[in-house]
Amino acid sequence: MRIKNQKTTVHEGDLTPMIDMTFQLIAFFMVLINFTDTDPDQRIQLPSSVLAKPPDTALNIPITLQLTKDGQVIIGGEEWTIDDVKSKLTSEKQFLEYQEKSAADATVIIRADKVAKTGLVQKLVEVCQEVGFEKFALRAEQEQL
Amino acid sequence: MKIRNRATDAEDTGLQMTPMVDIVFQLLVFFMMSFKIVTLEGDFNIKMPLSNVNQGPVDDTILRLDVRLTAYQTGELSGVYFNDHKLESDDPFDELHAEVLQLAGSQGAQNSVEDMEAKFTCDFDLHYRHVIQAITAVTGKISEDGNIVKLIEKISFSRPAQQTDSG
Repeated sequence: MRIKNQKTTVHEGDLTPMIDMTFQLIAFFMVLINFTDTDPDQRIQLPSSVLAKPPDTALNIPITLQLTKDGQVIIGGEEWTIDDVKSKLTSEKQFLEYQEKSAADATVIIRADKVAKTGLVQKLVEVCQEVGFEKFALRAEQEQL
Repeated sequence: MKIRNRATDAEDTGLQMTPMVDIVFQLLVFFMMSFKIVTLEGDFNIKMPLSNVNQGPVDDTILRLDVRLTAYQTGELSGVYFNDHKLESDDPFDELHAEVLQLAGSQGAQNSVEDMEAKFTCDFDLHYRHVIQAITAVTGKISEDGNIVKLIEKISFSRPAQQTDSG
């Protein structure tokens, strides 16, 4: 009597296309991932402008100040009021001087909310000027035409 | 004579793909979770030392243009003034841009845009986005081929006016 071979064979699907696709997805996300130094605060909605193009070269010594619509200033994740921010900026200046640089060499990037009061933005600029900063960059998001 | 089953030996030598696929999926999940869509941002660069008042005589070669932005108490824009006359059109920033273009063109070789400075005076409560709109109107435009044509690059601010129009 002929005995049938009972051994079962495992039928595996061809995984190659799926792995190819997965690697392509990984490559896509790896290329587009963006580890920025200053994490933009989600509370701040920048005003938009067609002229706001990303700069060709990175700013030399950037110091980013974020101003919420409530008038709070965010520096490196810490919240300050405009009246208190002078002490923080002074310590930034002292740190620059320790590195044999001056406050005039640094650029203060101001990321203010689009509905923040202009007077508060100007007040923040004045505080920076009193500490010794001279160069400012008013940040806006690029408006698509 | 015992005959070995050659087919079974061949199956055992197959590569174990499961750990690799596990890791690959974990990497995929990591990058997907870290991914955030950011909009492109750009800057308007302004150089403003503390005070230019006591730093020597005023440079007469600079043509100063006054732009005044007034606001309602809500912070919305109530008026745009260019050299003390109110811009009455529906889109005052377009009109402001046209005025600056006209001035830059009429001055010709005598006053290039490098010799112009726009001084902004804004109400305290004015929403910041209107200031950016005004700066956009005076600092440049997008040409037909998509490039930026720069107009006035020198910008300064005077102290904000506290009063706002009611409305």
